Amino acid sequence: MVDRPALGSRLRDERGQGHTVTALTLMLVIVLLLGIALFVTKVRPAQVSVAAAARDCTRQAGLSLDPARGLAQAYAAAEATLASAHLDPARATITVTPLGAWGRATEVRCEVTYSVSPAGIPFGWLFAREEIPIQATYTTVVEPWKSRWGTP
Amino acid sequence: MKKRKNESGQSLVVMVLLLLPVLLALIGLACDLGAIAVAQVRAQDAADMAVQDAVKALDVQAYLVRQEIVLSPEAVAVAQRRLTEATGDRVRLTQLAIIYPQARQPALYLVGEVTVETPFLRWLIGRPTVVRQVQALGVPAYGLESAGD
Repeated sequence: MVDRPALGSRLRDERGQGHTVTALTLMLVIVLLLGIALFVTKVRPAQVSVAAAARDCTRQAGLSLDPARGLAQAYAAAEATLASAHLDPARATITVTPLGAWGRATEVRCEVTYSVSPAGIPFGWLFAREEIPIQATYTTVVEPWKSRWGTP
Repeated sequence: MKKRKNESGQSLVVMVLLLLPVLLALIGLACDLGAIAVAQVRAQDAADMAVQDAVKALDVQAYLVRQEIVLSPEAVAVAQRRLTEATGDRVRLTQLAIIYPQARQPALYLVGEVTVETPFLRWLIGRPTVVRQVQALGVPAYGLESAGD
């Protein structure tokens, strides 16, 4: 003999479990997609900002004939651009390299590297286990023709 | 009763199965469009830098003799080199010319094309790359009186 009340109770307990599994799976998929979206929205803007920082760094470096002043304004420009894009300049590596003796028509190269951390992104570890380095490099020529610079 | 129980939740499953490819497609599209946007901005930066350097490659003798702004032959090479250095060969120089946007005020006009790989669009519509145009303008430095001064 089957105990009818016990069977009915068991069946009633299992009702809705399919819904729960579907809802959980759906939630997992949504969180995963959200993670992808957040990951993309964190990395892409940083790529643009790092390139802008390298561009500004290079442009400022090429404006001075004095190496010390050129370097100082190049670093300052890169840091200011990163900060204005809400990126921490302390996490960036800014390298300014004169290709030869600093002077008119010589080349100077700026490289900015920034690390984006996947921490805080849902399932961030799926896309990147370590920090993602973003790098941009520009080269320019120190102004060759400006003839009446009062100060270098 | 039994039939109703077995079918319960199936509409939700169907909905998920229908929505999932749409969601994935949207994510893929967002990734590709993001890549295109970033590549275009970086290409524009590179074009700005390239035109600034190309405009420094003036033909000094032409200016001294005829007071005419003429580019030296190396200007094109400089511009292409800068584009290549900054974007890893993704931007191709298509035009570099002196134009006169205002009377008697010359400017150097650069046009380039950036090619962006789009893996999702390749899978979706068979388009592996997207080409976007960038333009930049540079004004030659004035006040040059003699070579190197």
